[in-house]
Amino acid sequence: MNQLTLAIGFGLVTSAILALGAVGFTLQFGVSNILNLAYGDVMTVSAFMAYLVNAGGAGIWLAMCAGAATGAVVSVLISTLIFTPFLRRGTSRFAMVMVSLALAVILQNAIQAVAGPAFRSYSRSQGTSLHLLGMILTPYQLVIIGVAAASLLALHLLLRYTRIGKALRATAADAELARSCGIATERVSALAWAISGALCGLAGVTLALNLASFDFHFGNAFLLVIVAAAVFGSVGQPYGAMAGALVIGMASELAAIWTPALKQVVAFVILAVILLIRPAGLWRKSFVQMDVAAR
Amino acid sequence: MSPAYQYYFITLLIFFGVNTIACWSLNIQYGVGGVMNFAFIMFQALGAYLGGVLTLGPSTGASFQQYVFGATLPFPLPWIVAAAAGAALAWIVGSFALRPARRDFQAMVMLVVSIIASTVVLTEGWLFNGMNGIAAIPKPFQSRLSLGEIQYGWFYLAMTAIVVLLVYLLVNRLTGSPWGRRLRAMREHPEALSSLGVNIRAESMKVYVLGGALASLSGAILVQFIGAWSPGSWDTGETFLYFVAIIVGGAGNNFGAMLGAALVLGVFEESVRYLPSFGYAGLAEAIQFMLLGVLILAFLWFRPSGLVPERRRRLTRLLPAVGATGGETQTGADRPTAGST
Amino acid sequence: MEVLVRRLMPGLALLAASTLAVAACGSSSTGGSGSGGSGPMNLGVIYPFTGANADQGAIGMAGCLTGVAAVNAAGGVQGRKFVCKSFDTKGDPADATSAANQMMASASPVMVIGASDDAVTTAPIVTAAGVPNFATIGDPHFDHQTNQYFYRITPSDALQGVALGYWAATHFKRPAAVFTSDLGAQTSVPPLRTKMTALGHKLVADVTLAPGQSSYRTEIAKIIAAKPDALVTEMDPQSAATFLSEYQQLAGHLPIILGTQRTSNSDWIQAVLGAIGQASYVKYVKAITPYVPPGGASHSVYHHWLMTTAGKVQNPAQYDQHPYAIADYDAINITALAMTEAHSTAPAAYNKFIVKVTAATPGAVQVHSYAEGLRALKAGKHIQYVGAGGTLAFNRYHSAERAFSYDNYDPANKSMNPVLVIPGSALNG
Repeated sequence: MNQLTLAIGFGLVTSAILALGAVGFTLQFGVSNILNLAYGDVMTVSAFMAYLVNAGGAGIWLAMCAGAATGAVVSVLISTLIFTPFLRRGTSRFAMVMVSLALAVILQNAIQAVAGPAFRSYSRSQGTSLHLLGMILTPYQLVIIGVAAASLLALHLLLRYTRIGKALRATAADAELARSCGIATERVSALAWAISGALCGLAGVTLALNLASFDFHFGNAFLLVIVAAAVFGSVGQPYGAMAGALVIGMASELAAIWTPALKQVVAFVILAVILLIRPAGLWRKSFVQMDVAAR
Repeated sequence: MSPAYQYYFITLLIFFGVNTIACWSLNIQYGVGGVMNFAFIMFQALGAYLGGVLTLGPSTGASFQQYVFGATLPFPLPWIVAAAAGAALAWIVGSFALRPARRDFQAMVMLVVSIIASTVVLTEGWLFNGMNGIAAIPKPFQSRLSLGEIQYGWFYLAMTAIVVLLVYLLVNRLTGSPWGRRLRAMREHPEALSSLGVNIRAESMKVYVLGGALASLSGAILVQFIGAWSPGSWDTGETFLYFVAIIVGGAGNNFGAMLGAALVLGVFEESVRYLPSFGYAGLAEAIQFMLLGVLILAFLWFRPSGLVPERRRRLTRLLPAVGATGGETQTGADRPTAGST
Repeated sequence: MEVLVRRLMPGLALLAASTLAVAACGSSSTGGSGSGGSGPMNLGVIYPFTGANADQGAIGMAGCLTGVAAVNAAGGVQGRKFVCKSFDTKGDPADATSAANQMMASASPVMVIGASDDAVTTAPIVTAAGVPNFATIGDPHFDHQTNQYFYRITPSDALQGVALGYWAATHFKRPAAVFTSDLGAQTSVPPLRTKMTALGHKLVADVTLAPGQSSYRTEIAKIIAAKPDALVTEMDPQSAATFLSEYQQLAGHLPIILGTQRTSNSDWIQAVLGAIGQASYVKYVKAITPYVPPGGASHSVYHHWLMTTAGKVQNPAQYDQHPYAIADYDAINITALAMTEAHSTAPAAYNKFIVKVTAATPGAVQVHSYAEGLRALKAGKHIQYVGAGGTLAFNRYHSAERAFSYDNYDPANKSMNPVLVIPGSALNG
């Protein structure tokens, strides 16, 4: 079996999970201009809620839906209760990073206090591996790839072809102009947080599925890779985030062939190199567009 | 006071001195210059590792530690070399981390660099002995002076205090100087300043390099007192703690930074030791950190300028002829807070 | 200058106030005192209680409470009882230093157990004050230490590596080593390799993994290609769960997993059980750990007192076979016996009796608990304390030589139990 094709297959799974996370993250940034560092902990909360549903007897599909719903609800809550009030108070963009960091600390420790340090696992049957085109994937991995692809396709269709999608894009590009055009930007913003929160929840559940056992800090541990993928593709751009997820997911799996201990470092070095060449990420030439839009 | 209490007291004071230098370093970068150095702890770690290996002597494997650059440099060379290395690392990192114009993006890049560094040091054991870290670092002058534990402690405290004083003179001078004013303006209105021809990247780089040198110096001073350093000491969460200290104490002014060092890194950190333990192990600490998060949110909401706000620098002092109406600066613009820009 | 002083004044005042508060708190919380008094005596328990290695604190505390229960039930030492006082190093040398200083200042302990990996910073502070320190640190740095107040009661990581290498070489044809970079990769693997080479074998694969990754499939595919029949491993619970479940999916089954003491802790067992299922765990997961003789007089005493700590220790049964908790328990019994034979609770006086009460001197009576030793000493005999972890013979570096055992998993009590003992002679040479 060729190492390379195997690694590509595995990279697809990692990229799928990463794509769900990165697109959600980048959507939140696009509509609020905040780097939400509590994102990883919302993933953890969603995974735990899905675990509760799963332990109560529901199948994994229902658990995934529960996770997505939890992610949506929690994200909308933190945006309306924490981020928006701070923004209205005039807190600067980079001080908002401290706000989201503080929120992340609160969330993660709250999860730890409530759930304790024990590991949890979803109960599901393993299924046998399938061999396709030189790759080996289990049914659950195919499910993860499928869920990611379906969600992102749905998002693409939403953004491009529906009125709500257009309203979302308008608000992300220039909130004041959108408001003056009659778009209810607050409602649109809440919707964006809900959609991105659902993606966040899905990312949390699929990651927890992949990890086999998880505890209270797994989401936060994954956050930086998500940020790297989002920044790589120019944060705020969903298609950029998908590309970033693909590149970083693939790069780390391919790097694992040669330096398993440093595979994550390779992904980050790629990010650093890209930022050297294009400081605003792959999708944009510079920051000028963004600063003008984000007022 | 019993000898053990004296020694504990000395330890806390030395830590306070080290944290003060570290907070002044971060204050120069973030409070004055507006550069969000999320890789801060990496610089302190560099200074600590270098301060250690430059006094341990060449790595012979006899004490089961492997590391690079072993030497036995006489005091105060390890401290000086550590500071220089910190400046060099800042220059290298800044050359690409300061390229994005948005400060929160710069912060993300620096955070990523910090994680790369900690992963590499952990994995490549030949660098600084990986997970176990370096230990048995000799204290400067200890064999020559043959003082008792307590007297040596006072001696080391005195040396630390001298360095703190020197660093204070340096940073105070700098922040009060025209360069300091330019930095503060750059922090508030980067676009305006760049249209006036000021090279934002170059000024940010200068502040980053200076802060890097000071952070590494603080690491070297710390490591030669406690005698060991390992990846457990420079977890990326430590950077967050230093930011909290600056925010609580008051970003942008040196006294506030020192107060933050005393309150957050001194009192708050040590106070947990005195709490009664309850519930399962780790529960008390989880609650402590939750309260820390709530504290930060409260500060950012109610008092974003910190306990000791930066002094308002009135433009009227520079233009006496204009009078009270002209040149009077408004609350939002000239008084920098952690919350603006 | 006045401006400087004026601005610094509030800060200095604040600092003075806080240190006064610290001193006041410290003196009021001292329940016991040092050797000279008549009240209870403090035992310092200094470990990470928070952070990545927080499990070590729980283990140490369990051992301390068990030992204290046993000694106090027999009337304490010279009528004085022991009290365990915990101090948190947070896994960080700087915090360990202030924890050790705070411990010496506020508790004036008569003996200290700890501090596993942070002992490099805490042991010098404790031993400089002339207080015996029983440590469970595996760092080979301490293999040749000469401080007379320092005692190591658990094997060095280097020795663990040798034991792993010995077993892998003599029982498997194609062993592979898989370690995460943050644990024993640097201290256990080199001795492992050396021992295997000495026995004429080698590893078919030697991989160091990055901990906490979302997927290890590429690395696993490479390992599977080398067709190993056993994996010698030490990983944190999260990485192990992900790695082993993915291995099982990719290969259809697992090879024999040969773990260490770290992989026999309850948090590891729980995480991996959930990931690979009980059937696989029983079949494939084994470990090489410091040998704890099951049953036996000493162990049943330990077991009895361990169960009495149920209110203060979460799920005490998990420590029934745990070498480190047992080592801490033995340390307390040894201390009590040494104090009794020295007729003094002062550290300076009883320190030299620590080796005496554990050595197999001719004519010494073997005792298996503090109560039994107390009776023998009162009758004027010399004793040799045989711990719940077996006999403890301190070599001239104050390291207790211990045997290792090959363990398998017992689903009934959810822990690893010894099956075979690896004699010390097999590990030397």
